[in-house]
Formats: sequence, structure tokens, C-alpha cells
Amino acid sequence: MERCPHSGSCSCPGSTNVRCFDVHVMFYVLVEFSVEYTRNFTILSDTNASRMHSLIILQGL
Amino acid sequence: MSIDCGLNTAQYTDSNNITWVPDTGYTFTGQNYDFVASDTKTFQSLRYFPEDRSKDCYVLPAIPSNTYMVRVNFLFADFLGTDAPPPMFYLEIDAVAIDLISFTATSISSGIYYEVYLSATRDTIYVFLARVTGVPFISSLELRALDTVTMYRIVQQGLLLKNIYHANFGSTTPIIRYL
Repeated sequence: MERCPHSGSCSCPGSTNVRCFDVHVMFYVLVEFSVEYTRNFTILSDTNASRMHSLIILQGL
Repeated sequence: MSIDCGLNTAQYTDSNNITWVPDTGYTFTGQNYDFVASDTKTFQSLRYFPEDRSKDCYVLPAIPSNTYMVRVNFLFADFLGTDAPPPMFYLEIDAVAIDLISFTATSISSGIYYEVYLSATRDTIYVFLARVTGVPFISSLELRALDTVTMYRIVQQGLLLKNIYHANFGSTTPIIRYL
């Protein structure tokens, strides 16, 4: 899966209805459970998948 | 606590059973402007700060080390007329810059909001509007106490968190919010 070319929404090859978030600063992410990331990462969430219920992205300042 | 900035009448309760109070006592400068174009009562008034000052502030009561969410709303109105330069200012909370807020002459009735999570370091939380150009303003200000033990514990280390994105996947109901 290729990374998002830039921040924001995009469409990824091979998937439909997918949103990508390319994040370059520290974020605090809750995806049904809490995970702290301190490096660059990409979240791919297929909104057709039942396992994805909610997403909260918070930026650390 | 829910503050309807610029409200020049008594407190009221909205359809979500949230009681909104005037900003008297939380800020000491600025002027009221009534903006009847909005359907939401909370946004039918704002406070703007025409005085020549680099920063204007609100002071909110807090309990030290407790975790809070501060929600700030800005709904732009031409409170100085259409010829006035549009406002550009920083939103700062406890001296941390949250974002640069900028409106244009075509931004009338457009809005933006911020949600910031933090741990109070003293018995007050300061919300600053730091002028860049034009005249800063604010529409509403909300303070919510959160569970300090279970929610966003990383803020106990002095970090502030700013909401970037909330998604409720698959929902067919309208927008939901934490009251």
C-alpha cells in the first residue's frame, strides 16, 4: 500500500472508500483503544470495514 | 461551564439542556455585538476587542492538576463594518499558541472551533486572543472537566492536545458531541 502523497484525504489503489491521514508530528490516537505515537505514521481506515467504529486524532502542542 | 461571549441578557438554557451564561466576570475588556443572522442563539452575539492591545484574555476557574477540555468557537460577523480589515489573531491557552485564526472579507457567517485538552497548572486557565491584524473576537467558550485518571493522561506531563479530527464511522445520526 503506498503512503499518502500528502496530508489530508486521498484514494489508495486497490481500495474503495479509504481515507488516509499522513501525520508528521506527534499525535495521540484513539482507535477503540489508546496508543501513543511519537513518530511519523499513516493511518488507513477502510470506512466499509465494520471493525472501525471511531477515530480521534489529537495533536500534541 | 458554557459562556456565551457578548451575551447582554440573562443566562438561558438551550435545546441540549446546556445553560449558557454571559461572559461578565470572565473577561474585562471588549464590546458586545449582536449577530442575529445565526439560527443558533449562542452565536447571535460575540465579543470583540477594538482596544489597541496586543492580547485580550478570558480567565476560567479550574482545579490544579485536573484535566479539562476547552472548546472555543468563532463565528465571524462584520462587527466593524465591511471596510474594516478582517481579523487575524492567535488563539492561546495558558500561553501555548493553539492556532493562527484568520478570516477574510468574504468570511461573514463562517466559523471555526477548537477543542483543547489540558491539565490545569493553577486555579485558573487563561484563554488569550493575541492580535496580529484587525480586531479579534470570540463567540463562545466552554470548559468541561474530564476524568483525570482515565482520559488523556498524557496531558499530566504538561502537553496540550488539540483536536484535529473526529470521525464516527458508519453513523447515520447527526453530529454528536460531548456535552
